[in-house]
Amino acid sequence: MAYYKIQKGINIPLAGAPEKSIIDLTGQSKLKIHPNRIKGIKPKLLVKEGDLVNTGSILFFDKVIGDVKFVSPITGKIKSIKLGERRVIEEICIESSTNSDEFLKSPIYTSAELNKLDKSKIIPILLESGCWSYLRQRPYSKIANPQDIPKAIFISGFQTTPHAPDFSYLINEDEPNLQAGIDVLSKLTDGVIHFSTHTNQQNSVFSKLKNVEHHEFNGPHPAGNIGIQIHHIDPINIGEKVWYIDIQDVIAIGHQFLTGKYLSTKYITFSGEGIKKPSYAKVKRGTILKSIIGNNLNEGQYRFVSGDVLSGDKVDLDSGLGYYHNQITVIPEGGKREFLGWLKPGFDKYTLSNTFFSRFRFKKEWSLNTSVNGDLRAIIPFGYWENVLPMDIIPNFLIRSILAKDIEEMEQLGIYECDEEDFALCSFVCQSKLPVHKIVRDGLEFIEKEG
Amino acid sequence: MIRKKLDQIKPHFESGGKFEKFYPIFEMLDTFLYTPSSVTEDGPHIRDAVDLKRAMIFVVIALLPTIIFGIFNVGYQQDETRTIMENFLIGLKIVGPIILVTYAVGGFWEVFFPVVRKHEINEGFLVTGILIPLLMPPTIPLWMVAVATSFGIVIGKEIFGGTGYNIFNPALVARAFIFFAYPAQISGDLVWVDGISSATPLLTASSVQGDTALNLLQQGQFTLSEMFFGFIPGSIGETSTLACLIGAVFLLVTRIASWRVMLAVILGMVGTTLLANQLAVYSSNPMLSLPPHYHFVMGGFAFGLVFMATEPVTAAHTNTGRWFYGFLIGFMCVIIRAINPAYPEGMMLSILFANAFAPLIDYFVIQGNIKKRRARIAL
Repeated sequence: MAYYKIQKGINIPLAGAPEKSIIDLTGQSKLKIHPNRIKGIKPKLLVKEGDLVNTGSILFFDKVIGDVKFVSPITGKIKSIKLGERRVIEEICIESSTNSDEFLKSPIYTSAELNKLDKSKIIPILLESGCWSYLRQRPYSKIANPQDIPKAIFISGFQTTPHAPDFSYLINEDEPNLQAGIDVLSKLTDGVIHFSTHTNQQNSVFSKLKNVEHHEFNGPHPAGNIGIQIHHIDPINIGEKVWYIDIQDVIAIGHQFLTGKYLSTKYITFSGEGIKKPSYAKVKRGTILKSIIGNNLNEGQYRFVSGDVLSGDKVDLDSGLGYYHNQITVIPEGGKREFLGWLKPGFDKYTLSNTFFSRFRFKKEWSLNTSVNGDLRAIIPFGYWENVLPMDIIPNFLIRSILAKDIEEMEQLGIYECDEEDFALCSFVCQSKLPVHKIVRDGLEFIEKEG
Repeated sequence: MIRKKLDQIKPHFESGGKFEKFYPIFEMLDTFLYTPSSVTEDGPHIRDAVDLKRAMIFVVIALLPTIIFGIFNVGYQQDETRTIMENFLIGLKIVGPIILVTYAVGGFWEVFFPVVRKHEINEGFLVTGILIPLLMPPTIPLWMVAVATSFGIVIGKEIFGGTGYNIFNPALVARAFIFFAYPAQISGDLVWVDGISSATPLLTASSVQGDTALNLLQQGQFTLSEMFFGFIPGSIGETSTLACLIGAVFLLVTRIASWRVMLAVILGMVGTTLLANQLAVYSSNPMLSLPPHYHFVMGGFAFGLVFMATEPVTAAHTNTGRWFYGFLIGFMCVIIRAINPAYPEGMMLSILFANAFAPLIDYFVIQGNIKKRRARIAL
């Protein structure tokens, strides 16, 4: 087992951390899937309003890769399909009439049989069951192409985003599914499956996993980001592709092969200052935020984020949980104009820069809202970016090469190892309020289009 | 109330309004008085509380000890017998107009360019505007301050595209301009043109060939403690090493300035000086024999180290590069002071020199990073 110490970065002590207790909210009757929020796909609908669907029935597929299908997490009726501008599918709303699930089944295997399965059998099952969409690739963070053979597959056993769920707390009885999922995935790559854990985790399930290469990380966010782990374990070179997958989705794949049924539930945290009693919840994929938060919402103006506060999506209460998200965060909306704000001692202004008294960290939890706290300015390299980016990347010059649209230099400076979520902290700390993460995203999109 | 008034006049400055062109001015005033109302769109939904205004204000705060002491010292150098308050007021009478002229002239350019370019007005000038007076000798005519400030801001910064794009430190460009254009007024040999003229310690130390620097300083009645506290003639802000060090502690604790640059400058200076000391016996040049702690307290070394070398835009932009950049400054400063007899003060030129080399230093650091990435594929 390899050990990696991550020095740079920060765990932002955001107020409203979730308590370790799980509420079961799987009985919800209405779900929403938002195809337009899944990166890199061009969805083609296979259902229309009023159609009846089973759990595991295909709702739409991706026109780009063709075979990648997305399925219904619930048995019921397509209540509505909302199209936006240029007929972008904004949401598919499914409502169940019964409490019992009808499943669309795939072949069942025992764990012993899984080890003998080969790729040509596995891929069609993954595609048909909708589980393939959980596999994503770097660079570009889009859904993996079944035609490719990745250099390696990465699974992170921990997440370091603010209020992230602790998988070592959640995953214990699911061990057979997790191992089965890993066994299935191991057939898809010629390389190995890298599985990383955090030093603070005590979990015998993780340490007993076979068919993987174990890695132990220690340090603050973004150590849990898959991009940071890939960078330290086996960095991506030009032309290479690696795949990654969320640990809960590995369990879903294992479940699919062992039972033949689609696993539509997952664990999430819902947290932040806007929530009265932040905690863990077991929900169906696509559950509407309102039915998760319910009466648990405090009075006031809030921002609802599907995902974590650093890289999640801004959504409204009527949206469904994001396709790849494990968290819902509710933080106060900012934008209040303070008189001579730059002159204040700032006992309540969270910063990493040592320019406010809050730096003495006399509180355990800090209230942060959505204020930008400043205006866009020219890049002035105070070195704040470097302090939160634990990669052998020179952020300053990478960002400049992206702004200059110089593809050759972007490649030389390692843009393929980067993803916007790894630069979210750079945007957070930037005194010039530069959207560093967005520049990285634009750079990757530019290369993908031009190259 | 002020808020209401601002919101009331805001439409005039937005596109289509009467004063559309002057929106940057409105924006400056508006965000100076109130924190901006903007909220995050996506990505990190939360942001650090620091912004450029805060960072720049902190540099000005760090400069306060040097400003206050500098004003006092201007009075003190004229007449040592007066009370502290009297000296301060006399100093203020001389320094006050210099600061006002710098802010007025510089402020004009800093507003003029953004308005023409439709940019936001940058806070960088809060710092440049106070650095320029501190680099000037107190006897400088005000018109010269105005010309130097204009040159520093326009040629040193704005023609490159404004704050964040400049190659040279604008305050140092202003000072260099005066130095080369009007050498009589700032040459550094006799800074007090009228009133009581006296030579600066640096000049004293290099004045007689064949003698040692320490001997010459003793003859000139400069003691180490006097030079450390700053009761010596020199440019307004640079005489007191103590005041600079107070500012340095503040900048380092708040992490506005790069500790790497500061440490590297000191290492470069000490290393080069120790080497020069070894060579002193072979030469009649008195400056070669000057020990490092004297270099530290004399001339503009401390001021340049704390406030000029650490300026993030014109320094190297990579952490590795910052070490080389700082070392180069320390090295060049001693070389110019010791070996160039025409100009005993090396700090300004060495920083400008390093400014010019910073992009090259960064280039090598980047090439190193690229090579490492390439080597990975080769394996």
